[in-house]
Amino acid sequence: MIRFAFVSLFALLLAEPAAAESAAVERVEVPWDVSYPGSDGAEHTLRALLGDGELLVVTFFSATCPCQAAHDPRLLELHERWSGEGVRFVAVDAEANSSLARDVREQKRRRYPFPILSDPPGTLADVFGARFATYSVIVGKDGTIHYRGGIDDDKRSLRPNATLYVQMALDRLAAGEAPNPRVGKAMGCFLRRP
Amino acid sequence: MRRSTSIDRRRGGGGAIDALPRWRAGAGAAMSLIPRLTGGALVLACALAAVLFLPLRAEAQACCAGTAAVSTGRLTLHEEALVGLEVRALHGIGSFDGDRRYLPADGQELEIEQRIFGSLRLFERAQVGLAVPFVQGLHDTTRQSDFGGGVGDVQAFGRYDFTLAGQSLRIPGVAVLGSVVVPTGRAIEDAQSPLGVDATGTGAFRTSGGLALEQSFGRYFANLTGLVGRRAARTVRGSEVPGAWEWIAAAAVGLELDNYLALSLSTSLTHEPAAPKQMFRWGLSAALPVTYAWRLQGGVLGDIPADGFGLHQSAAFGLHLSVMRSWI
Repeated sequence: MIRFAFVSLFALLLAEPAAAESAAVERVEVPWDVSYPGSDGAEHTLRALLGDGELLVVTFFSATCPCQAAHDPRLLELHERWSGEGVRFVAVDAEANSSLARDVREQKRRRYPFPILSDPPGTLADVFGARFATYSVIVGKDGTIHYRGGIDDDKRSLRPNATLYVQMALDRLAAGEAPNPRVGKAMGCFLRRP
Repeated sequence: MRRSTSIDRRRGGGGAIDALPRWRAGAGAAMSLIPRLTGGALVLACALAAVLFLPLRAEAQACCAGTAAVSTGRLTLHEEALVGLEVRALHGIGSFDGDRRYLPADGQELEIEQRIFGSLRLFERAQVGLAVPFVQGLHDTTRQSDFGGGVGDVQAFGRYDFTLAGQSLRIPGVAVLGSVVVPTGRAIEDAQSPLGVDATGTGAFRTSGGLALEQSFGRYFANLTGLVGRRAARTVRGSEVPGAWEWIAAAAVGLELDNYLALSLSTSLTHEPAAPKQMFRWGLSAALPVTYAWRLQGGVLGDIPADGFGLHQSAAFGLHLSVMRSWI
């Protein structure tokens, strides 16, 4: 028994971290024309937010999650790097206890240059399979999900050597290649549902 | 009058009671009641001060590691595996008699335990773990002094979360817990030391199972655990020692601070109707992620050295500190 215990613990020590998953190309029925109130005071549809862009990055947002707050700089960097290259960004507050008033405050406080859509029923979270804050999807015009999962593999603090999933996916898409991985693990808090 | 000195190391099925070792026999130090209560009050005052004076954002939530402060070795949200080492020291301070009277000890008893443990997530809602303790005991009375130890009782534990805390506003996290303790340690009847300091186990298989409920409310979290345990019958020098049931109820509340330090205050009530024995224990612990993969957990635990808080049980006060390495 003791030997078994040691062998088990040793095996755990040697175990590799869980790798990001690979997955086949997915396509979902994106509710392009459903309107959501935004933290900028306007109503938005995903189609309007995508506009003439090629890709829409949808990040699921939690006003109270410390992991979300930790990722704000990285989200802003992504926006700065890619918004001029046909990539549009939007955040979605899909928590059941969210409010538009709080999203308005949070967008200003975090200086997001894109709106936070208020979606307390969580319809967009259901469509895109979001369960955790910071979960992001890169969706194409035709509903293709090029990438879904965490912004990176960080949790509550940003490491310089983190694997930048969204950044990597956008780099590959810009080079005409398929993202690898297509699925990453999201490390944020649960998105609170009813 | 000198009381017996055996130590009963009982571990429940993971969860809150995992940090609740149980002492059976009377023993202890010649500490007065007042200093002990003052020590406990100081700990609580420090915890309250931390809550009241540390900078807290108005709106924040216990993200991922809050419940880690409640139970050592439990995988937090997103963790796939961990290994750790816990060091624990328990100082016997007295015992409770059959009338629930607290009697300060007339000697000194110290138990030090190191525990290597590991946990592995089988799938999102299920995790299992194994803990291997190494126990050392020191007993010092006016007439005798002795030191001994060895490998303790190995414990396997697991939990399955039907729902997870924080996932829903209305439905709390609900988990079923289970544990098996294998008598790999030396039972008291096999001890060589007259003071029993080399007894490292209970000599019987023990199983337990139960339910845990937990929920987070912003940065605060709460946990309720109920367990039923069974100690198997065994034979000691030709005599049959019957098995026994025990009930354990545990509760914990805590919060996660802006620097991700999680603090928790826990209590537990253990009741063994057949004996009958009863023990009330409290604990204050903290968990702090040090790096991406490493975290520390530590705290104090103890029994309340006052009449009415125990029955046929020893009373102790202790410290524990763990270092854990996790994989995401």
